[in-house]
Amino acid sequence: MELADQLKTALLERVGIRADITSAKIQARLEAIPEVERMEWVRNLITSPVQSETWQNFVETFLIHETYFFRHEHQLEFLHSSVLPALIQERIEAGRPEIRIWCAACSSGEEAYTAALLLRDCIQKSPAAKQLTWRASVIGTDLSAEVLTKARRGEYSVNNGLNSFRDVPAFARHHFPEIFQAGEKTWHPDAWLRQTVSFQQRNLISDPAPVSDADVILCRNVLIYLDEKNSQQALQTMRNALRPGGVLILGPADMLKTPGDLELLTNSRAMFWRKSTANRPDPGAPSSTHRYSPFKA
Amino acid sequence: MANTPSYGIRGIGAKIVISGLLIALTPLLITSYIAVGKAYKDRENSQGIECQGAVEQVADKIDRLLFERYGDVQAFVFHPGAAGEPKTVTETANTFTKMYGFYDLMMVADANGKIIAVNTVDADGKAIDSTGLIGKSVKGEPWFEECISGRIKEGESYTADVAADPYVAQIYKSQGLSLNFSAPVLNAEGKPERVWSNRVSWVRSVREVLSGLDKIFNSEGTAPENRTSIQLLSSKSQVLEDYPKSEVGTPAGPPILALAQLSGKSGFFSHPSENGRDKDILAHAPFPGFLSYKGQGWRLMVKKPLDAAMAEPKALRDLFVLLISGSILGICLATHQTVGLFLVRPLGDLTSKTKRLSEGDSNFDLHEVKRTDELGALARAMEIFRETSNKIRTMTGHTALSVDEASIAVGQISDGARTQTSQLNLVSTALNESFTAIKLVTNNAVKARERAEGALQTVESGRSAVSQLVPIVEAIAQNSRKITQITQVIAQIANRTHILSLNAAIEAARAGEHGKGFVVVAQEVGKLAESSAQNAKQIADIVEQASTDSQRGRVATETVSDSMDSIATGTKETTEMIRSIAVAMDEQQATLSQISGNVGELRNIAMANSASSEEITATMIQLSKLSNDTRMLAEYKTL
Repeated sequence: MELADQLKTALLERVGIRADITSAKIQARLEAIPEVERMEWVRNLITSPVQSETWQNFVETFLIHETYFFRHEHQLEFLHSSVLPALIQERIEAGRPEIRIWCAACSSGEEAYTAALLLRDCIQKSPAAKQLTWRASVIGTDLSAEVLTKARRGEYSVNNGLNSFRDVPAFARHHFPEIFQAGEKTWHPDAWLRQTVSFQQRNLISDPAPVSDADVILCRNVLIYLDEKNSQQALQTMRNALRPGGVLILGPADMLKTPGDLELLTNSRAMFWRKSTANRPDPGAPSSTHRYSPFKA
Repeated sequence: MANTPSYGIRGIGAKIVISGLLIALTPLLITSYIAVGKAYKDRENSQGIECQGAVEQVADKIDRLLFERYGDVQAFVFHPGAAGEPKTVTETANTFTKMYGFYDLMMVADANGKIIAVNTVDADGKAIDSTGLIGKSVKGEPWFEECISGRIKEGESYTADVAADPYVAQIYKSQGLSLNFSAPVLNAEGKPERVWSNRVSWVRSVREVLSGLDKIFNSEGTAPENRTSIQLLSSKSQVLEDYPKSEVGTPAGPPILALAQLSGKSGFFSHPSENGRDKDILAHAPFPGFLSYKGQGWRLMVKKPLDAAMAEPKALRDLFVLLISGSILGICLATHQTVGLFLVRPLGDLTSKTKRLSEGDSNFDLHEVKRTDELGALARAMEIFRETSNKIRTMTGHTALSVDEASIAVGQISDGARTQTSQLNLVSTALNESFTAIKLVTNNAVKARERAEGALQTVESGRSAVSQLVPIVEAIAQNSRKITQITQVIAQIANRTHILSLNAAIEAARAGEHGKGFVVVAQEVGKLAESSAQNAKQIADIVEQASTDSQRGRVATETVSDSMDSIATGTKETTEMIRSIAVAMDEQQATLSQISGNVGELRNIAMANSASSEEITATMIQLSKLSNDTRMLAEYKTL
């Protein structure tokens, strides 16, 4: 097998990234290495354990950390106006004020903080919810230790052109007064956000999910990088992590066909998938009276 | 035509056949409807007239019969027996009862209303026990009061509608249905003396006649649904008698009631029968009375099912049905063939072609475009659609390709951005190195400046030292000159001393012995003066030498001072230059550091660009897949 192919296969098997996405970069990397050293270099790479620094540094160059606050406004608007209020209402009625959100492949954390900001907004808007003490958690996971370090540091700057605040919609600007009002260069999450949002390093296609009964899973523009088999594997992990009636939010181009037991819900500008409530009872899930459906009539 | 589906009754063929049938059959249907209807109506009329005649006849018969009973009682009161002893009256009554055969009771009451005689046999001559009635008071009963009061005149009788008579009921242990006909028995003065009252048996009079009518209409074995029903209604529309039997006194049903409320005329009409399918003839007749008998306002009606009487019109109807069925069959066959040949088959062809077109197969011959009829127009429209859909398919293919292309283009952007990033990395590194180098140079320049400044200070202090030396040298020179003058003074003194010693020696010599010692001293002083002069000469020589030296030293010092001055000036200039270099270097360093920062930022931008581009590429690849799927869908391949 050619060296490039060996690397492609290794990336596909260990990370799940499609060969057609990795090939150009692999070629460039190989060409940057003197020809006599290439074989040794590749051999060293593909025999290094997944946890090794050598391998992780190599993988790092193939991970696309494209993310920014309030990305895909229309999906978030729907989450903000419909899914979360219904969920909060249901939890108030059930007397169990807790909500779990999983941001799969969260990159440098903007999406996880965005989800937490939306959740806080929704709780504060509801007089009944405001009085309760909520056990809210947003768990961000990513394969890259580098971005997770940045996410945990929680320092977001407007210094370069395509920065984390490049496309914050009007309805969300009040969350970042430092940036949009005070004209400062950096924004830091406050104490509540830091307490609510946590980060873990995980491989979406091989590691178990960080939660077993997520109410909402966000995994946007991740499956586009994966091949069919690994994409299905990742979907399966997320589906199992979702409690019945929970909502999965993917990127617009992530899935071409709706999988069998996920129900496609769409308004004209956003697409969601909801896990059926009728299927097998999940032993970890709360009793049926606690199940919620944001799309109830 | 191979797979043209059959549309059955919903097909155009069927619709045309049905329309043809409607058009062709409408006159036939109307004609037959009118003809059969007329036959029915005729039959209805003849039946109606027949029934009407029958009820009129029976009503008349009953009225005549009752007129006779009306007259009977007037005849009885004129009979001598009516005025005789009760016994005679009883015998007379018995005779009449047997003779007429209609009466249940004949009672005679005296003027006080006491019954004095009642018949003791019935109409068949059988004995009845009526003695119980004798002596009973009938005072207050209308018939008695009317007659005894004289309101019933000669030639009139009291009449009352049929009723359940208590006396008859008592004697015969029956319902006692009877009609009351009464009249006064007048004395010689023409005053009512007694009242003769008859009870005409309902059964023997009216019912008898009506059962005769029933027998005429309903022969034995008539099916119940074909039975003609007969009803006799009172003036208050209550059923007095009916066939088939029902309870006397039952109120009449709605059609009958309506009938009963008609004017005193007879007539008939048809009415839907109770089963809703057939019709009944309803014929009715009033009871106008006969001559002086005014009747009781009764009404007789019969209801005869028409169905049984409709054999002829039915035959006519069947004939028409047969005719119409035949026509339907004929028209169907004829139009089916024609429509099939000229419409359904070409339409089927076009349909199958349209279906192929809808499945993405446009490879067929559309010869129908040459047709001049509507199908031709349809085919031409289809032809346009075929062309359009071919275009659309091509365009869809192109779209997919364009998206592919775009994907590649964006991929290239991504590559470019990647290259840009690495190049910028290189630039950044290079700049970093220059930055370091310049920093080094700057540091060196600073050091050089510091050193130059130190040298300048040294030169400066040297120069001041030298300049301090000049007056010293000058002082030395002056001192030398002073010393020279002093030595000259000393030399003059030595000279004078020497002369003095000579003078002394001369004087001593002249002084003799006493001057002998003094001669020695004078000699010694001469010697000292000589030595002093020599020393002064030596000092003068040395001072001369020193003066010459100091002169030379002064010149030399002046020269050094001049050199020092020029060195100081030069060093000052150099220091200035070094200082400006250092400042320039500082500025340079700041600029470079700024550049380095900018380059770092540029690299961040480029990296973000690259990430965006790569995400776009991945999205585009996904979209391209979608687009391919769409094209395949358009080409009707299985996904």
